[in-house]
Amino acid sequence: MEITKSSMHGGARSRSRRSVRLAAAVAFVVGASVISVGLGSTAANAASKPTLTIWYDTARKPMVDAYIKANPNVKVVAVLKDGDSNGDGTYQSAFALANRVGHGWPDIYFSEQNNDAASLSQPPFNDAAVLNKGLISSSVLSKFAHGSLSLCTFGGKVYCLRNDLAMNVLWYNPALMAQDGITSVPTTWQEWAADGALAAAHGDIIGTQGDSWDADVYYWGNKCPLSQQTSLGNLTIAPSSSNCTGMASLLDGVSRDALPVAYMFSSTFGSQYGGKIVFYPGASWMGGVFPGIGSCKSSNPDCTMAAGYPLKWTSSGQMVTGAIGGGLWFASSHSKNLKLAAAALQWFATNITAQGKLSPGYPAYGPDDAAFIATQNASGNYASPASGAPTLAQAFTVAANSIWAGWSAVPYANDQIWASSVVPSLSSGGTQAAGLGIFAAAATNLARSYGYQVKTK
Amino acid sequence: MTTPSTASISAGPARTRTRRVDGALPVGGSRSAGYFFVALYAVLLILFGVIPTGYAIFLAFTKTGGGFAAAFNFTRAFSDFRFLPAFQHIAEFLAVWLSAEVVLILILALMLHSLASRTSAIFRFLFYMPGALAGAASVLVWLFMLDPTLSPWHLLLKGFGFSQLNLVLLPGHLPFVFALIAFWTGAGGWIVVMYGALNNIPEELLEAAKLDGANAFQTAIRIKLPLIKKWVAYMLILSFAGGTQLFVEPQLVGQASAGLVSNTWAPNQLAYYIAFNNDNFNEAAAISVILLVLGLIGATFLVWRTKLFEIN
Repeated sequence: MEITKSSMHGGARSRSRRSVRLAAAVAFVVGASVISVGLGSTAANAASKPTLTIWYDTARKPMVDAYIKANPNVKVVAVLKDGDSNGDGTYQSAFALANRVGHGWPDIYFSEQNNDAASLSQPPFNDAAVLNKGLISSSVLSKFAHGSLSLCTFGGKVYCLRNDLAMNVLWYNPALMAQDGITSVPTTWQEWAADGALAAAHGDIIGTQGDSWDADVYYWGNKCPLSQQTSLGNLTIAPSSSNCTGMASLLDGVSRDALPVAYMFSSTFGSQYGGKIVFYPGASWMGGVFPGIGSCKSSNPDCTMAAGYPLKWTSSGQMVTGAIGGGLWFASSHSKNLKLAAAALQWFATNITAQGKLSPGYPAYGPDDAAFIATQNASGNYASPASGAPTLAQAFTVAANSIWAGWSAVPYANDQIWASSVVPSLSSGGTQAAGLGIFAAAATNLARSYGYQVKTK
Repeated sequence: MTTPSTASISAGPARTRTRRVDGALPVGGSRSAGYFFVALYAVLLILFGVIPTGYAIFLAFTKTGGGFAAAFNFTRAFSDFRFLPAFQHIAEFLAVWLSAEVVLILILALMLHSLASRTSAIFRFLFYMPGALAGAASVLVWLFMLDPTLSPWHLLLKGFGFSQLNLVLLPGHLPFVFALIAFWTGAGGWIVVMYGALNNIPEELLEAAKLDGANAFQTAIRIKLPLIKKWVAYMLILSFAGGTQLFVEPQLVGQASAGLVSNTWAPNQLAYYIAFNNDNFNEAAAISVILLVLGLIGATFLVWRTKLFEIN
């Protein structure tokens, strides 16, 4: 009976269910329309806000945050990348894919690789926008340190802005020097090498070898032509030049106790060598980041380093130095909002807060240098200079103007070649002299594969 | 790296059981379920295997700007100064890894098979565990294990004269280092597969061998091994193809050690470099096709020698 009853009322019930469903559907459509109108207006607001995609590395995060804060009218899509460190080709991979599929480019990006301009501005990538043809004014470009944009310039076109110069100086620890019986900050490579014996006797070191940046410090710093572009497409890689062999034999003459094969950013460098670095020829950005070294505010009196002038080959000779990294800012030629991208690029490379306070390296944009030095002096990361030695400002300024221009950017990473071919040789007891030959052979092959005519003498 | 699927692991014993119980082929619902599973696999195979392979072959014979390139991309790849060293590296790696696989996996599987089932189950689980880690994660584990300043085995490493990671990662050691990582990640799965294969051997055969006076060693060498020959061939085919495509290990170890391993150490890395650093997908595709051909030659040889596809 129950069954019959329900079947009797079934038609009415299903009709009423249908009306309920209909009402629900109408309500849903009306509701959705109302919501979509609301969303539409929000979307319209979002659309009116220009979007800027930035690819940056970890060290640039404070600058990116500052840009976002300073530009509330720009919708920033900040994408953390590795900055193409060690020449691992992150950007080349990304652009090869983006060029293929026709989307996925950023508006601006930061690279830690000085070589990237040579690669990203040219075929097949063709991504970097030309900046000196209307995007960045010549009055701004002219204020960058002399020669600092040469890594960005090809055929008269400027493709990037240099973030910092990353020039090498001689870092030294005044307290350790006194302990080891070293009376003055060395000014020549020979004095520095001779001090190695005193340092080693006390278990201290005067630098390292076996880092991927060896060539940037020792060979670039002695005008050794291992990556010298003489004209477009012509490269000199001449390890037999006396500037190269002289430096190699000087390094080979220093005991490995004083100049160990060690990688500064390895997990254990700090615990092994942290308090034992008397000297370290290295980049201007290293001052605050030497692993295992606290700041002067800590109670350890041996904890900090001061910056000296770059070392010279002879006391009467010209002062030259190399650079490790330095960083480049690019605008993508594929950006849909190139004017905004160029403005942001200019902000990152020149803004006094960005460069003077937030960037870890010495600004390539001259007007920001004083603010940067002031920030560094206030940071507590540096020791007071030894007597007769330059101030931080003097050391940085002189070094910034001493970078040897004969070391050219090439579309492959010299650091990568050094790390994978020379460092294993050094690690297993090989000499720097042998390392030069190994590097030159590998670099020559690679340069030729990129179409360079290579001169080896 | 290729690791055996759980389906293949359980396939052996399950099939035997079905045959023994009802003695007939599956019918009706079971058959359509079979088609369903094969269809799923076939779709994935076409999407991620056949179509990309076809595309790679197309690219390999095409010029960068389009048009038929004949063998140009191949000759360019052959004449690249990194080509031969990359293949030499991979040959060294394969020699170490495949030998280790055949010898150690078989020894471990035979040992497991001779254990009581509960103990064996615990060991199977333990062996299989490293395989549960993704390739990249296992490389990171080994970066810690091989760094003498961090490793729990630092005394052993230092005993061998390895005081720094630099010394562990010397060029001559790399085939062994990568073989170690690959073995650790993949061996567990294969041990379980081999164990399954050993379980497939009819009990009567082993009983008969025992009655004939064969000891455990003789039974293992003369009875068990010949009977699981096809499984070994199957493992070698997949491992050879996977091994020639080595990529994650050298790439990650290179990046984590600030470039101590060249970014063109293995042929697959070279293809990646040429594709993405030189934006030359065509030459990179040519290298991929060479790897495919090598894998096919290796597989054909093993299939032919071991009569893998012959049905008893």
